[in-house]
Amino acid sequence: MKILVVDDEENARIMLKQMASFMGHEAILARNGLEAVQLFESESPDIVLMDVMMPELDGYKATARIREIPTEKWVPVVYLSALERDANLLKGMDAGGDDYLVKPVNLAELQAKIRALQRVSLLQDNLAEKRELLEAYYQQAEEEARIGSHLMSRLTSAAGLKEAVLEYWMQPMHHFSGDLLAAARTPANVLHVMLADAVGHGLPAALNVLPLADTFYSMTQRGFPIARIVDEMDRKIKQLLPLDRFVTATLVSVNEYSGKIEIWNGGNPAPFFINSAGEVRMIGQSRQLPLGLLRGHDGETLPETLFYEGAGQMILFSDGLCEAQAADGTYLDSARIAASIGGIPSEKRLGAIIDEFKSHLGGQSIQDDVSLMLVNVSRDASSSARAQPEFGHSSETPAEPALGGGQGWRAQFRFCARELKILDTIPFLTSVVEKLETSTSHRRQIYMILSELFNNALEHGLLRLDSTMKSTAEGFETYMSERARRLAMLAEGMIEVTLEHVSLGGKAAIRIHIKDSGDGFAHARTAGHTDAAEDRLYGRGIMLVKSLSHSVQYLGNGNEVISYYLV
Amino acid sequence: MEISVDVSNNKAVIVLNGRFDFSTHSEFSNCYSTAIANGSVSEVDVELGKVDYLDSSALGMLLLLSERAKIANKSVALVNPNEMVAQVLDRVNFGKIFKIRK
Repeated sequence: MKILVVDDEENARIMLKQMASFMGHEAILARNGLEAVQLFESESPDIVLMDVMMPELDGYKATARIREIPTEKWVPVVYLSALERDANLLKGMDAGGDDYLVKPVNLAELQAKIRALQRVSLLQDNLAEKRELLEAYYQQAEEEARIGSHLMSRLTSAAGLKEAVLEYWMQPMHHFSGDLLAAARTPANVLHVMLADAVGHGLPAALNVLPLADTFYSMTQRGFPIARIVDEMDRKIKQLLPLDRFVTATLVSVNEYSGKIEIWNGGNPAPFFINSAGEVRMIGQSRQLPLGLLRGHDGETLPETLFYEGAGQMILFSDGLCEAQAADGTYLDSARIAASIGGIPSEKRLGAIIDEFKSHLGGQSIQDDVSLMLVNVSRDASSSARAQPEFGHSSETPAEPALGGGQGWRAQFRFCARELKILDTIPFLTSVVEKLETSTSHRRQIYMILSELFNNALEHGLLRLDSTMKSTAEGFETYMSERARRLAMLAEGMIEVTLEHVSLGGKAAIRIHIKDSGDGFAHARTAGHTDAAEDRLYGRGIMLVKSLSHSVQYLGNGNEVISYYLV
Repeated sequence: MEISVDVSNNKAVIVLNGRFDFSTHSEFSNCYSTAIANGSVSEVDVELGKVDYLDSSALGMLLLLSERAKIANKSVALVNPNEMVAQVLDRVNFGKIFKIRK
C-alpha cells in the first residue's frame, strides 16, 4: 500500500514513514496541505494520514480539495491532530475525512487502524470489480435481448402473417416470446399456419423456435405438405437442441379450393373449429409427441383431416392461454374459452377471448408466453385458379393440338419404386419448371396440375387405390394410411414425366406428359359431361386440372395423360 | 419444493410436491442422479401425487431422467398424476416415452 503522510513537522513525518515501512508499506511525504493535494493527484495513494494544523493549507481544507479529485477507488483519510477529538471530529468528517486520531499518536492503535482501513479498501475494490462485471453483463444481456427481439419480431411479422384471413395476439412473459406464429401459402395456394411453443420462456426459448421458422417458410414455399414439414422440423430440433428442450407445435393447412383442413398437433392444446352456425368443436387433439421427440418414439406423423362447407374459423392457441391461472389457482380451461365465443360473430371472437383471458387473470401476472391465432376459412373456387383460354373442352379432342418445331427445352424423368418412396416429386418437378422458365408467376398453376396428375398416376395407376374410399372424412384418413402402406410395399412400377416447352398455335406453352406403368382406367367417364353427382372429394382433382390447363387428354388405356399449360 | 427419495428393495421413489418447474432443476437432478447411481436400484418411480402443476421445463427434466435411466438400464414410471398434471402429460403424449401409473 502507498501511504501519503502529511505533516509540517519533520519528526512526525520521519516517525510515520518508519512505521509505514515497518508494516511493509511505502510512504510518500508532504509538508503541507498544498503539497498533499499535488501528491494525491500525481501518486494516487491508498491511504492518507493528514495533520490538521499546517501552514499554506490546513488538513480540513486539503481533505476537502482531495475529495473533489475524481478517483476510481475509495481512499480513506485519517486525521492525526493535537486538537481535541470530540470538538473536531464532526468538522473533519464534514470535510471528507474518515477517522480522527489524537496526537501523540499511539502507534499500535494507528497500525490497527491502517489494517482495518486496508481491509475495507480491499472490500471496496472487490465490490467495484464486481460492479464493473455486473455492468458488463447487464450491457451484454441488453444487447443480446435487443438482437434477439429484433430477430424474433422480423420472423413473427413475416409477410405471411399479414394475410387478411388471419388475426392473432401474442403476450410474451418476458422481453420476447418462446412462442412462434407463422403463416405462408404453398404454390398451390394452400394456406399453412403454425403455432409453436418452446420449453421455457425468454431468450433461450425464443432461440429454440428460430430454426423452425426458416424450415416452415422454405418448405411451404416449395409446396411440401405439413406432414413432411413436421418431419423436417423434428429432425432439426433434435439435431440442434439439448435433450430436455423440445417444441410443441400445431400445423394447419387450409385448402380453400377443396374445403379441406389438415391439422397436425404435437403437444399443444386442441384447436377449435367453429362452423358458420357458430358451433364450436375441438379438433386436432394432440396425438403425437412434440417436435424434437418424434423420431425414435413415434413412427407416423399423419395429420387429422376435416372437410368444411361454407365459412368457418379455426382457433389455435398455446397452453399459456388455457393454463392461465387466476389468483384462486383455477385455470382458464379450453372448455371455458369455447363456451365464451360460440354466440359471438366471428370478427369479434379475438377480442372476446382476450377479454375472457384478462378477466380470468384479474391482474395476476402471466406464467407463460401466450399466443392466439384465428384463421378465417371460406370456400373459394374462383380465386385459386386462373382459368386458361379454351379450358376443358379439348379433352374431348383425341388428337394433339398442332405444335411448333421442337425449339424449346425438354426434360424427362423416370421415377421407379425407389425414387417414389424417397423423393418429394412434386416440389422437385415444380422447381425444375420454375428454373427453366425463370419466372414464378405460373408456379402455382403448374404445381397444381403436376400434383394432381402425378398423384393420380401414383395413387390409382401404381397403388391401385380406390377413389370412392375418400368420400367420407374417415374414409379419407383410411385412404391416406393405405396410401402410405402400399407405397412402402411397392416393389415395381414407374412413372414417366416429360416436361416440354412448346408452341401451341403461336403461343408458348408447357406440355406436361405423365405416363405410369399401371393398368389405366376408363377415362371416357371423366372426359365427357361432368356428372353432377360426381363425388366432391375425388372428382375435384381432375376438374381442377381441366380448369387450369389449356387442354387435357388421356391416352392409351388411361395410363397416360397430357396437359398443355399456356405461359 | 421439497423433494425426497425413498429407496426400498430395488425401487427408488422420488417424491415431489407443489409446483414442478424450472426452479426445481438442480434439486431434482441431484435426486435422480443419486437414485440412478445407486447400484441396487433397478426401477425409478416419480411420485407426482402432490404435484399440482408442472411446466414444460419440468417435462424437459423428466426427459433427462429418462435418458439417464436408459443408459443405466433402469426403468422409469410417472406415478399418480392429478387431473391437471395427467392432462399435460397426455397432451404431449409422454405415455409413448414413460410408463404412467395412476
